Amino acid sequence: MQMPKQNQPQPESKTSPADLFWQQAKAALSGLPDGGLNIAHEAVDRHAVGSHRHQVAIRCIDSTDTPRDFTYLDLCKLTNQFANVLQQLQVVTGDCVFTLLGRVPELYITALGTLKSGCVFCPLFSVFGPEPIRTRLFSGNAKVLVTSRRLYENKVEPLRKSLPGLKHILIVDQDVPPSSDNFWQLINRASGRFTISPTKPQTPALLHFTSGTTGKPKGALHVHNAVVAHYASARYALDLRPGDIFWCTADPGWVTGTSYGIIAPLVIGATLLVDEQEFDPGRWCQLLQSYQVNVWYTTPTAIRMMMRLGIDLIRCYDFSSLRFAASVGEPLNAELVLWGKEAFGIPLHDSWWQTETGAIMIANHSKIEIKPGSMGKPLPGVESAVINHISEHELEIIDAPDQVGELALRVGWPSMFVGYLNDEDRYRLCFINDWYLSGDIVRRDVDGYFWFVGRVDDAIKSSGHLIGPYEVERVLLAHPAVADAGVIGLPDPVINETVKAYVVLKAGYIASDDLKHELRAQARKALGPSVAPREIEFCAKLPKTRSGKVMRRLLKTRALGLPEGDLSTLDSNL
Amino acid sequence: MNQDQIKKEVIAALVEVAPEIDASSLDPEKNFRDQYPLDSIDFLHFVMDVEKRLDAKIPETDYPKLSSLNGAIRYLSIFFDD
Repeated sequence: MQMPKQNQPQPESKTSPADLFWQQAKAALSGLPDGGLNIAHEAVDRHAVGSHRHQVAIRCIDSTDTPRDFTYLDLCKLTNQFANVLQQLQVVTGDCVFTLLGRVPELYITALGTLKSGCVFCPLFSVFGPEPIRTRLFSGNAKVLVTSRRLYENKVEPLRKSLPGLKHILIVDQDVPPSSDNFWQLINRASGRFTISPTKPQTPALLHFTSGTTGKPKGALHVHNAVVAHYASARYALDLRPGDIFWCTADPGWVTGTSYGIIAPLVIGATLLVDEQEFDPGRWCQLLQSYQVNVWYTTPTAIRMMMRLGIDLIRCYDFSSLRFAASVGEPLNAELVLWGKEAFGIPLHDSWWQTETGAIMIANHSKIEIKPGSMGKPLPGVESAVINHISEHELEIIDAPDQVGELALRVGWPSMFVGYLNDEDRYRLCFINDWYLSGDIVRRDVDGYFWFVGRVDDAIKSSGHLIGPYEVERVLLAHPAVADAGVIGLPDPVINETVKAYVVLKAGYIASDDLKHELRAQARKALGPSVAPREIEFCAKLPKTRSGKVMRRLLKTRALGLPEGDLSTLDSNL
Repeated sequence: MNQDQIKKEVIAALVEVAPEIDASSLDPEKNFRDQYPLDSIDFLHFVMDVEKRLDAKIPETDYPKLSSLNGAIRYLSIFFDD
């Protein structure tokens, strides 16, 4: 994988308080002997030779509720073995290694072994359908995929011919299908010694796909220097300390699952609790109690589903080990913050960041008082502003409090993405002068707390994930009955927004419940359940601009019964 | 309500949530989520649909008992017997 051209603006060279914050964080890391920097060295190897070496690094609870422990020393050896496997397979620095896995030990071994080898790690969401998987493997130019037999046979094998660059499939189960290798056989034959690739702070390390409103998903690339922000933000925003038991419930396919589900807790020297099973509110309470979790990072959707258990039942559990709980993915409403305090004995801290920012930027962090319902304040290393666009190249910073505008961050934090794969234009559009434009609309109150208002674009926030409407529309349009489709997010009490599709049928097709089922089935098979529409409504036509774009904003305001606003671009014939 | 009626409604609720499921290939003892890509919201909607179809209120703590076809039938049969 080549580094995209560095065309984002560089911050002015002066030592600001923000710079000092990151410099101090960097000083807490050890670096490679030759002055380089490698995430896996910071997360594993430096602990494996120090006082943490016999400490449990990862405690994996499998599908039978049995814990399996890996010390930092174990993890060091296993990740060395995986890095050697990549070398034997002639996978070289810059090549991309993908995973399509749940939260299983092989995920962590692959991620960290890949980083040791100098390759780029890209996790995929295992509930994705074949279409998003194919798009991401193709545009990320995947050379290796680590997955399970079931996921491979159901989702990847049929695509294999369309992915000539995908040279190696490593299967984590004992029985492997043809044209693939057994992960553990390769690991067991490989040496446990490995010299980490001499990566530099700006060497590509992580690739995370995120959804846009048009076109293909965007592959946001991060470099090894991101580890500085992973470390500092987990210390500061999550109050995570060495020796803590930390549980991040995010799926490994999303950026949180890597930044805080793998890297940050290990860099700090915590013990990472990993639960292989799917969400079950009662079990989660049991896990918090039994494994004496100290710091918990979860999502509003999970909290809302736990609320359904009822406060009396939740309070039967002992959460006395829990010191800090935080949430990410979508705004944590004030009621949830207060409910959290009643249920768990400590309040829930909301945090805000994006795939592109690589780490927490704004939070009700450990050093400030929580304002329930707010995003919190920027971390000390983060300079933020509320801005108005004047033109494509010009912005205006709004200093007055309580004004609504787009959230912008001044470039220069260590985990800022360095490019979108194969899409320099899209990357460039994210910046004006030395400000990164987040696409989120916010207001900042008089005390400096930010409050989420909405998105600039039509992206849908559902269960903590960003869904691009075009990706969903494209799949619906592939059905022979569909003439046109418009996809929006509608408010949902549990998952923040639910995906709803408006579908115009071709002449000769009759709207029916059976056809709705057929369209939903097709979308779920192609996209997976979290991305596919949960509701479909047939309509005679869609509101469009004169240039032919679906006016999703108008679909949404109409669905919600809100004022329609400026309709100057609406094609009056539609 | 007899077991056949319960089975019919459970399958109908499952297919309502996940219309891609071919009920004839369902392994009745196996967890739904080990057979099909269902997320936790699907499972919640499935239980809520079962409640609606059978006019029953299932306590949240009992939801995991409905995670396979036979598990759901066993649980709901006792539920209606009581």
